[in-house]
Amino acid sequence: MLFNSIEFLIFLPIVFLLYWFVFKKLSIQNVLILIASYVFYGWWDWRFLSLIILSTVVDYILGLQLKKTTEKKQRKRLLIISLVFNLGLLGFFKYYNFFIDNWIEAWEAIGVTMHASSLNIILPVGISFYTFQTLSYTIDVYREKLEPTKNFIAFASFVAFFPQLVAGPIERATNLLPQFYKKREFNYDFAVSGMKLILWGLVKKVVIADSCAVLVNRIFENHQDESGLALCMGAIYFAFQIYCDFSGYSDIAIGTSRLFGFKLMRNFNYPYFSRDIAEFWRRWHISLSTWFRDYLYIPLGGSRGSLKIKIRNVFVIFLVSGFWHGANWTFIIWGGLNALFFLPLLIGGKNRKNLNEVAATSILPSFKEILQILGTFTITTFAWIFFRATSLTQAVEYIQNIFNFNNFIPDVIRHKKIIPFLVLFVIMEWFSRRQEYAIVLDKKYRIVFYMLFAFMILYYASVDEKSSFIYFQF
Amino acid sequence: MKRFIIKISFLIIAITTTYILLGFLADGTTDPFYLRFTSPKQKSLILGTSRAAQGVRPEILDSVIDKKILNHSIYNFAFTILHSPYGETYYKTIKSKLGENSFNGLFILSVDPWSISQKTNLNYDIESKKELSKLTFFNMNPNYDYLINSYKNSMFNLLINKFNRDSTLLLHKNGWLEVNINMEKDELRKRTLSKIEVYKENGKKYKISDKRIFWLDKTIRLLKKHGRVILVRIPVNKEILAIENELCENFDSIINTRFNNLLYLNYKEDSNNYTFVDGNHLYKASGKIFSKKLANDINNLFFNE
Repeated sequence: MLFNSIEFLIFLPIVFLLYWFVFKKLSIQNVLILIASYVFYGWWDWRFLSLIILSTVVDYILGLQLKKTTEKKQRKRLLIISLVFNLGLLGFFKYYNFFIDNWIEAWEAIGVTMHASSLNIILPVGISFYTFQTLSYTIDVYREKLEPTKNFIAFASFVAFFPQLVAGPIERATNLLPQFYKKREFNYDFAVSGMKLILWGLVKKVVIADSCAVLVNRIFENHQDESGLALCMGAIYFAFQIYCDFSGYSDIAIGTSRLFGFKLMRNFNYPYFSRDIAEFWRRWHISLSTWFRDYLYIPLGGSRGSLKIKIRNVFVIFLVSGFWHGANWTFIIWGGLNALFFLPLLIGGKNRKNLNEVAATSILPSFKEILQILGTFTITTFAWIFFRATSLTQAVEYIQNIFNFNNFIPDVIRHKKIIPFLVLFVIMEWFSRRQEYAIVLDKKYRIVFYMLFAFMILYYASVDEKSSFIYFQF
Repeated sequence: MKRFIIKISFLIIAITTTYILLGFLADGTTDPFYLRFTSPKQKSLILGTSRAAQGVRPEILDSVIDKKILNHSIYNFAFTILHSPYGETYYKTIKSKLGENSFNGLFILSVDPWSISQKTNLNYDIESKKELSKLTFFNMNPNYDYLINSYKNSMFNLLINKFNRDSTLLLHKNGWLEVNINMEKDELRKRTLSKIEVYKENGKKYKISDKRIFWLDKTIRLLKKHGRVILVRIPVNKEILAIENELCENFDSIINTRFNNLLYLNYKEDSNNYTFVDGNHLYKASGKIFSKKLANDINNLFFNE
């Protein structure tokens, strides 16, 4: 089920009313959340529910087994089972064909013909998210940061919690699971803030991301015929598209969970106002970045040890992050580029330089900050070209054509509609950068804005291919 | 909680009311398909792709075909090559449009190589991702199922359409799609050349499909329970026909062999008698002439049965 669909518009109030008015007992509310989550997921393809259930059962049992034993070897074995199972599941559904194809190509490069068949594997929606979520549980239990749960319904609800099941935020068991044990009370202000987040998330997704998508698709598909400037604009539009699409989804997810009394972690924190790439990665897809930091980067040694180790760790985390997004070399290059951008900061010891708020004491950024923000935006946008391209060839051609100065000036007409929106959006985000979301408005005129936003969502809503969320494919 | 529920209810009611009201604004300019899903179930149908949708005019057939053969209105239920090649999706759609207890109907099935071909680079039926496959309700007015799940634009477009009417594509209540387009010589030539290019490309990507022939057969068997079935090959210009012949040289013999118990009216060589908007679709005036000829031929055929 999509958040921006009529089905969800019907589904959400029904679940909400049942949750608060019919099933007031905590255990029954958890059962309702579990059933609602399975319906929400099954709406896409009920067959793949079996994977979620399997993943849930395996990690639940492993958690209990970890509690039973204090023997190190045995505990490690249990952890390895969880890692092999979850990563195996993810690997098979997401990377099988990638490895097979590359294996064949590698042998063919040295003149050996291999015969192996690619399978027509459907990628289950959300598999990258819920496998990481269940993994975080088992790892935290193994590290004794978390008491394993005996409450299967609470655990299953944590794994399948519908607001964040298919595209995050990737919640930690330490944050979300305990919320299933405690009685949730309806809090008006909390629920209202949830509704505001949903509204703003829909504006970002339906109005901005989907409008950008139309141009992005056209420009990327016809990149060989487009002017250099149009290609630059295409990359910039994609930077906005992916941000508004994904952060919009996160806002709706966080907002929806608040309606049920749950608090999810923040996933985006105005990343395009970052002054360097390290700050960008502290503000972009926070739930994934911190997941990799805690479960991969730090165990590898993090930023301790020799410079060589540090560089290795940075590359590992970025390349894995790229690979997590999809079975394509474009994502790996995207990750590699980000690692390269990060290196100078790491070597110079400046990767934690910009921890404070940008323009913390003034309304507008200083000239230096503007340059830093623009510089960071430029390099991230450059890397986004690889992320968006369907192949490395397309990405390279795209970049080459940007520098075709014989054909540089674009047809401006099609850009007229979208640019004012983006400018307005940036202004709104800038003046809200210290707030949780961009529509914390004055009481006097906020109703006008809410009506305007609601109208815009309805006006721009459509059932085109573009209306699906980008991160559903990961 | 009470305050929250009241506010949210107001919001939901406002959105729902807006959508309901907007639904009443949908009409023949909404898109080339919508109106066909607002009409009641039908007794007689014109089926096929866009050639039939634009080229066969039900009102002409109604007036010319003898009442012993067609004593009620025939309905144009043809879509496009992407939406309604013969297959499972179209079969189910036709089934939903047919009155269960209707008899003595007349079913005109437009056939050509494209309507029984499959794109070779796809491992699924192209129409399975399109409008027809998403529908549950086929005979509802206003059809909110269509407007919510299949209409490509925002429903606010229905309101804008009222003030800014574009009649380039005008779908009539009887299902006929009227195309109003610049027919000046240069424009026509440009459009025709572009269409020929498109079909040349298609020729490389399409292949006659046994699965589609199976579904055409199944569709015919379904329709035979409800009346008479006629296969028709609508004329196209010579260049398009040449591409079709390249795609499937023995198309006519496939039809004649596979469906030898059916009437097959083949007009593929008649292109000189008609004008086309792009080489592939009959211009509306020519559609009128063609429909008249088709109706007369049907009269002759059945009187000679």
